[in-house]
Amino acid sequence: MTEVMPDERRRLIKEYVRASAGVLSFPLKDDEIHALTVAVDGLLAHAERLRDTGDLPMPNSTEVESHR
Amino acid sequence: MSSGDLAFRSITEAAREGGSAVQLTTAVLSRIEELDPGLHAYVTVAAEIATQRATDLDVRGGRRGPLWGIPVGFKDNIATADMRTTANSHVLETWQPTTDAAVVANMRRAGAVVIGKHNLNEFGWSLPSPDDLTPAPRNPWNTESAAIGSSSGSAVAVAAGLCFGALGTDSGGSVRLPAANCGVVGLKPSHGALPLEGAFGVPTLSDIGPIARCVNDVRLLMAAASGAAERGSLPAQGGEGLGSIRVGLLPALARTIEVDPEIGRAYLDAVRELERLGGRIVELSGIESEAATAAVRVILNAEAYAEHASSIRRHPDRYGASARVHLTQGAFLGAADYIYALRFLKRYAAKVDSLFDSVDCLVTPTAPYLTAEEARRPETHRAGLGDMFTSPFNLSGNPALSVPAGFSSAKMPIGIQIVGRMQDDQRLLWIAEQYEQSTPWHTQHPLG
Repeated sequence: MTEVMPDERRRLIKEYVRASAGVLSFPLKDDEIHALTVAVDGLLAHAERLRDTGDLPMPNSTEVESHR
Repeated sequence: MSSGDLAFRSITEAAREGGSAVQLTTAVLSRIEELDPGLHAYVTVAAEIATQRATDLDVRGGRRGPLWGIPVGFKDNIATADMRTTANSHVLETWQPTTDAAVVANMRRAGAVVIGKHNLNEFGWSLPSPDDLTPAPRNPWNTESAAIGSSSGSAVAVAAGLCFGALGTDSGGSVRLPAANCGVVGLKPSHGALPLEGAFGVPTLSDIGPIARCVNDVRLLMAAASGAAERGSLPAQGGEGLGSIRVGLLPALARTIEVDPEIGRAYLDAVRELERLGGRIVELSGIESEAATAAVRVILNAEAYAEHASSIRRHPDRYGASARVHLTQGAFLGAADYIYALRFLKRYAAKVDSLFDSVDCLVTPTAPYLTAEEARRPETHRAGLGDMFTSPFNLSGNPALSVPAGFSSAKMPIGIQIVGRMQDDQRLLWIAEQYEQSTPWHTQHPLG
């Protein structure tokens, strides 16, 4: 897997924010795109921490989870 | 009796010795007029409505509830039918709800006089911003400093004697953190103990919680807000001494964040005091807060976005700059992220619950920082460091309370958090009261 460096990560998130804001019809000013990029970067870092817990979807199966 | 004499009485003392409902209300209103222009604790002061209500109670006569004639306030994200409810946002600047939130209706039935609506960070999830409807509340212990939010107006009002008690909302520490920062008591009850109906919040994490100047006042506010008082079920104060209570410490939790050294010392003093009272100290492992804080951030932002997406699209300019960013960021999470966070919640709640097999309560510092300015540093805020001790218990759902535990060298208040077993809020209140009554901190007040 290619490691994404912080600056590159920030640039990609900014593109994601700008594009998604357009799709979601959020009228964002330039300074808000920056503020939102920084916020989303932090929030995605939180989300990644939970993805890294290694959980796979295992609906209705606590038994299987306990064997992992 | 002057307004200053009355202002810092407990609810029980005020009801017994404070005179008529009109006298109490007049005293509080006069203090608000004098001090609130510098504190910004209130978004709305309903002087006329409160005075009329107090007059009606006096004419009717006879005590009809534990809050009879007691002036209280509500965080302005809790609906009140007779005064506007703004959430400190231009979006709701003139909104007059048609009905009271369930907790407001219960408090009125217990005899409360609603004096006004308390200031907050816009919709409870933003940082103070120059375009806020009402400027951010100042800390009454040092008005050069802001008060930590989001129920900051409620904690400021209670600490400064601008009401006898308040209800705020807590999704990650928003009752406990301002309570600690202002030197008062704040309780996040067991999740769902108070109905959230009629209050802005996120359903998975938010709870309405009382703020007051002593633990017994918090107990009375809980009884009134839940409707238990009306049903004649008023919990009694506990006896003296902690007996064989087992007090759990979470050293791994404290190591994940750099706590202000003065808070660290006050926390250790509090642990020693609990031990002196008979508590047995038990060090626990296996609970960390970083993943818990991460799960809180994901759930909070996903649910807040779901609440506000349509409104932000329709009138973005009526939201403040900070609220627009805070309430929009959840749009960029994946659905799976939300599901992972909910799964984590389930496991975490079970893990915290299992701790109570070996202890009766957990004790931590409430806040790692002494001032709002430190807590609001961008990198600190983004990482969720300011609520590292409090938000894990929004995730687990346990009742958790902040009680005054001392002051810094600059006379800023410090609180400790005591966490109880799920659905056993009364035992938590009893433990906290034993500690409170053995220390002098709750007897000290600002702007006396």
